[in-house]
Amino acid sequence: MPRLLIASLLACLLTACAQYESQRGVDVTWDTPAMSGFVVGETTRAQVLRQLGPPSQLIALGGETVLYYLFERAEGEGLILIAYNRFAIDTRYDRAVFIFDDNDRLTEFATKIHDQDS
Amino acid sequence: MTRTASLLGALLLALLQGCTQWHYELGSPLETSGNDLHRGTPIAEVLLALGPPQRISGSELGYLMAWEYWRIRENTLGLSLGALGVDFLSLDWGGARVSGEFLVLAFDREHRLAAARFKRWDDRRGSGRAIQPSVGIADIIDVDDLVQPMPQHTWGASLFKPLPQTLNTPHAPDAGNAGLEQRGTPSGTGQRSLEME
Repeated sequence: MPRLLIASLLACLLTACAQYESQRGVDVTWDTPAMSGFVVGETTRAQVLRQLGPPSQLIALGGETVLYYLFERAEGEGLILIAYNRFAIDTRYDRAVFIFDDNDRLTEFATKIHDQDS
Repeated sequence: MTRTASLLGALLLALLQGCTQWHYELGSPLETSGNDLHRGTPIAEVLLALGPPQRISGSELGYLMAWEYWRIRENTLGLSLGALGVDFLSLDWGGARVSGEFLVLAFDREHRLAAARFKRWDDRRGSGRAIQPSVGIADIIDVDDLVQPMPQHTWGASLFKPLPQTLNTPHAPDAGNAGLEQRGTPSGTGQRSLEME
């Protein structure tokens, strides 16, 4: 009987692991050097589109326009045992938003790039 | 180790089919609850403090912006009855716990803060028990609606969805001009009721 228990215990100790990464959205081109050329009141919507490409979402409000860029990264790790399995998935969002007035001039903008080490 | 203890230990291990934990973390904890934001604060100041929102929409009065953070814990435990001679059935238990933060800000047409609401929660979001075939036909816990990708990724495809959803695009909260919604919002009532999901 102890042999049966030991065999069962050994079966429980058999392990496997899994790792995964999922990416969605537009390329992150809104790093600090790229943003240094953007000036409120001067930069136009065409300049932003030329530099960053098509946005994830475009919102029109009256004569104003909002360009919203999003990159979503999910990283997961899994520990697979016979009797216990654990999965952890961490999702972070890199994003940028630009608001233009009815003359297509930049009025407000903000960017965020998640630090992968944090 | 006595024979009885060994037998009991082997039986318990044989009964234990599996324990599974899923941990999800979406976004980062918010750096403010909005208490330090006052009515009339310029939108540029808010963006500087909080960064770009995760959700944004235009409205008749101005802009709506939302920042969010979610932690979801899903735990399931299964026991196989095979060792008791009923090898085609299993017992399953499960539960989910969800915590998070959500900050929504409304700005007027002059780009000044008009209203702010913040909510933090930590509570159970369902549990389940089942006796079912060992293959586990039914999920006893389902948090899929809470871990979906952000709606902005499919914004450009809104007119390629099934007809009821396409027709409802002007009222859909993920369209960018009809307000915002949180993860897990039921679709049976409200702006999505015509989508008939």
